[in-house]
Amino acid sequence: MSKSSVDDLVEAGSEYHAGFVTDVESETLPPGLDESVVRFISARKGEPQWLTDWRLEAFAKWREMREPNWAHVHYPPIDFQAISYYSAPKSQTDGPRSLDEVDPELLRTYEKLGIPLHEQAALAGVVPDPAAIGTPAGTNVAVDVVFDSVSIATTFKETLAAAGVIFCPISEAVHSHPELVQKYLGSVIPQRDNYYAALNSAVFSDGSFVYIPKGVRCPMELSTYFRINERNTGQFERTLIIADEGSHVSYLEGCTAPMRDENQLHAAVVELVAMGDAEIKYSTVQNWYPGDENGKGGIYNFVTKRGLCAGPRAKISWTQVETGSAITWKYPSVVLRGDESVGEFYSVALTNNRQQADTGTKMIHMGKNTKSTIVSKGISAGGSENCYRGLVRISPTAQNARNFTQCDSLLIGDQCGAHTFPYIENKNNSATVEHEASTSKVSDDQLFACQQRGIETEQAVSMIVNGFCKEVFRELPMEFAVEAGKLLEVSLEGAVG
Amino acid sequence: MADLALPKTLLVPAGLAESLSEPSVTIDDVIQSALNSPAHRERWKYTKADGFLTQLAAPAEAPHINGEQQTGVRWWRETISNPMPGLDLQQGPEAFARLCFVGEAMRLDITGSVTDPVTLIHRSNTLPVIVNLSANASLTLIEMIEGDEGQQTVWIDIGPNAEVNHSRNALNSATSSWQYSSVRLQSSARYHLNNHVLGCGVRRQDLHIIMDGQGAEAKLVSAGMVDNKAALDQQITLEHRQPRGRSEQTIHNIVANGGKCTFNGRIHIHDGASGTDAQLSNKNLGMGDNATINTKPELEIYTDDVSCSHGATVGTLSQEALFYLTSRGIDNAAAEALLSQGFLRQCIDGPLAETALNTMIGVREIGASL
Amino acid sequence: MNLLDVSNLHASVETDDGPQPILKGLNLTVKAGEVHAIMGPNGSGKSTLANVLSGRPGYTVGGGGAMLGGNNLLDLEPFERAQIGMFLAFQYPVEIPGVSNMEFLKASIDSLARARGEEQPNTASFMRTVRELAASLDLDPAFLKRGVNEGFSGGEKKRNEIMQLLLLNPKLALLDETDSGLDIDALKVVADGVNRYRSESNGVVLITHYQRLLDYIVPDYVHVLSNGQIIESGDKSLALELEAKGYAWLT
Repeated sequence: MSKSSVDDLVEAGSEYHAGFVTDVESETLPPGLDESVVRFISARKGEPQWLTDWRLEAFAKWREMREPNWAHVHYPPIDFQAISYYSAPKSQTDGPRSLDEVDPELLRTYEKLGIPLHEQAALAGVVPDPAAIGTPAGTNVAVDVVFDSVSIATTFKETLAAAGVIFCPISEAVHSHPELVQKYLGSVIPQRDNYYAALNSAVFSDGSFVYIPKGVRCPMELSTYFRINERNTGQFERTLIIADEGSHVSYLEGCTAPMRDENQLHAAVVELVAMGDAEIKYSTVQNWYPGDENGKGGIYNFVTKRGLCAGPRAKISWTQVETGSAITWKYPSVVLRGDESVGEFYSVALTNNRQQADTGTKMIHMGKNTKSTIVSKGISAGGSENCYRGLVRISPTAQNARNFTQCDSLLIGDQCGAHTFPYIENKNNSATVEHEASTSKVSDDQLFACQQRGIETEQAVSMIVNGFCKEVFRELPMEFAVEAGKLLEVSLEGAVG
Repeated sequence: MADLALPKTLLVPAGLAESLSEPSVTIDDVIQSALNSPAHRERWKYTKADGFLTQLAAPAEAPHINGEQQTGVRWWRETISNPMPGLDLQQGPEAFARLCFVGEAMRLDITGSVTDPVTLIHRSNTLPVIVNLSANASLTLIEMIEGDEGQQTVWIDIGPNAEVNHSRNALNSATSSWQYSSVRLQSSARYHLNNHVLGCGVRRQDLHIIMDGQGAEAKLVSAGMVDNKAALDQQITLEHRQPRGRSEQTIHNIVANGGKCTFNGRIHIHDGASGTDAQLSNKNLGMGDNATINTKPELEIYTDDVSCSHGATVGTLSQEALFYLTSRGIDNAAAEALLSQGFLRQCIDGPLAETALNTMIGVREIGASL
Repeated sequence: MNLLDVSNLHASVETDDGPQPILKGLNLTVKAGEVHAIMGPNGSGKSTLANVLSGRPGYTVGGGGAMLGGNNLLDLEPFERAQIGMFLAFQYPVEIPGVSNMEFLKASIDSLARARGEEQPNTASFMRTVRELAASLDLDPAFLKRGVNEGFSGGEKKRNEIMQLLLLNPKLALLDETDSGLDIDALKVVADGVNRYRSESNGVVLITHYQRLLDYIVPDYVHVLSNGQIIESGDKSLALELEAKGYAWLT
């Protein structure tokens, strides 16, 4: 791409489409973090003593830990005492959580968020017969919406319940299915796994809980929509998904936040447990506010996600499209403990303007004949930094383990950075590990070829970038694939005119 | 993790201090923070640094040399007094400390096209060697590492359009061995390294290459064998600082029977180094039991006009190739031996190839003659 | 005595979805001095037959037998099959960088000599023989120093296979689609090589998709393989008939 055309492309500003503030009266804890805050959150949710203790234990550990500094990201020190650790829309705090009571303001929020129409209807209290509402792809989506710190509505509960599937806010599961929560909470990501996971364990607010019973194929896609609304709040949601033997579930996660001048912290934890022959497919479209073109504001997205293939032939597949956040620090991982279990990671990470992303995965092979695949596509534009960081570890017990990693970077403009840090650690000589990485730019030849056929620059770049990401988009559920493509286009607007 | 520290206080020779762009702080602080920076910690992730650090101040002697009495070659010993271009405290704090501790260096100046190779034989801790090539000069440099324990640092500055063909055999069975090489290439300079290495008690090879002029070319080829609980840790940083540089790296290692092999290959392409072509391939062949292979090919890229790729594999012998050989009547053990030898031989070349082949492979009569 | 005796051979190939049966009771007898052509549509099992007889990993024999010169092939490792005179000309010869062609050929001929209790040829005369053979097949002798098949064109790889055939002089040559991807000149060179190899004491099994090769290597028998069995046998005219009518009229 010629210098001038790059400048032109970088020049034009883009607008963050989800950047509105919802005017909802809310109950928000003043900034600051000490033991009493942890106790308050736990009490506010009426948690049993074991969970209060678990949080306090995590908080004690967190206080002894240091913030990690190895990632390829730069930001001023975070004042953890300047953050509010609990915020809830007020109209939801007392009344029963029926859909009818959803604040109309929130419903307008969903509309602006672009939540599909049938889900809005469901959120508004119209729960139709699931057989009658197929989307063009013929699938249904059940949605859990987490607004700041609390889950406000979950759809399709009855349909799911008929199949034996539990899908509810984790705060509810603590009461309705305490044995499951107590058994699996922290079982994949222990409290002191890392600094942010420890923080989350202490102050997590809400999030989704999913249990799929033995042999059940979840009848619809499950989905959570996360939104940070309040100023100076952090969001610390916690998701726990358990797929029992031979079951199958596909789970989608979307996120947005308003445009704010200050940085907001999002430190979530997602734990997945797949038993023997079970399969969990977890897809994320992350569109937190990235800050303005000068790097002011935006979400710090410091997230810990990990799945455990606990039994033989279990399969966990992470697919992520990361376009938002000022800083992304996120490594969805799979521990392949069961023999012949399978781990997959498909990622598109796009950074523009002053965004920084340090993201990748860890595949920890422990079982025999375990197999993992990593496909990572990084796109850097503007003055952003985009970094893939991955670990493939073959333990001595992982006889005949296999990994294949493909890691490609695309640079748009000459002010950005693209980096690759792939760790391979092998302790079993029967393993096969292959890593390939390449870096390229949107070439003048490609652009010229498109332009010569009458395609404008912006569209040409968008087409080329979409083609670059195709292998990953293919892994997304149909509806999300379309959304992801559009999102990419919007996120690139600043970079490509 | 305990902080890394130097074995004694560092006094920086005036000439060296001039090479650094760190005026305001005391050098002790700078080196202390360099030793403990996340990037430097990362370079010592899989091998303990402490043992090497304590040896930094050990006494050193001049390496044995051959071929220095030729036209265009000058070899002498001197107190370190001149600034050194290409000195990078962050990249090689230990090597810098060693220069300061030893206080003296062997100088090798090459002012023309030198026909015979210059051979350095290191039989112990040797004095830092500083090699300077004038514009258009060329040199075949041979290094052989001997002895039971030792640290060697070599600094090579290659002038415009000059060329170095460097061959190194590190095939001794030392308890501990460390080589640090820093190579700076000016415009259109060429550097070619053939490295042949066996694991030993603990062996560490650091290589820092700076493409500091337009159109420079670097080619690194390395074959390693790490067997019988030996260890090898190779750290290569290749920086493209100027436009239109080309670099190619091929590193093959066999790791067998409790051996531990670490490879880190970092390619750093600076803003403005447009038209860079950088390729790296690291292949590891695991054989026998309980071997450990760590590899990390890194890319750090700050310009868009580049062609850049790297690959790393860890694996066993190709079943397809084994079948091809055995279908011609070669028995399984012989076919495996042929293939593993072939794997290493792809990276054995140059004036030291024969010694390397004999030591690393114990090549059979037929291989040597064909 | 029959040179090759394949009787009621069943075999499957291992795939990600479990074993897939390919050969379903195949019978074939080759006597010394004969050339047999095996033709058939894609997927009929032609290459599987070659792979199973030469012992390529990834195949499982489910029943039946295969004898070469009175030895049970199926009990033997691939190198042992080669040592008793089985030779497979690969459809896709493998590239082995770092192992030179010369080194490979010497290792092979030495192994065969050792197995037969013969003296290993001395290096000088061996190298002379190889160079002459290479030249007779239009192969640049310089290739002998390069890695096995490394950087060879498709045609060069096939000629290298024929050179190995002539050098090792096995009892039975199995040629797996050696003609595929060859232009007419290369095809003639390959065919000349096979014809030079033919004698009253050895046998040839040609696996091919096209009749074209049979214009240059005239077979004594032509067999049609379909769905894992030989469904039709005849002389050369059968190949011409197949060329004219396709396989559909038989299957």
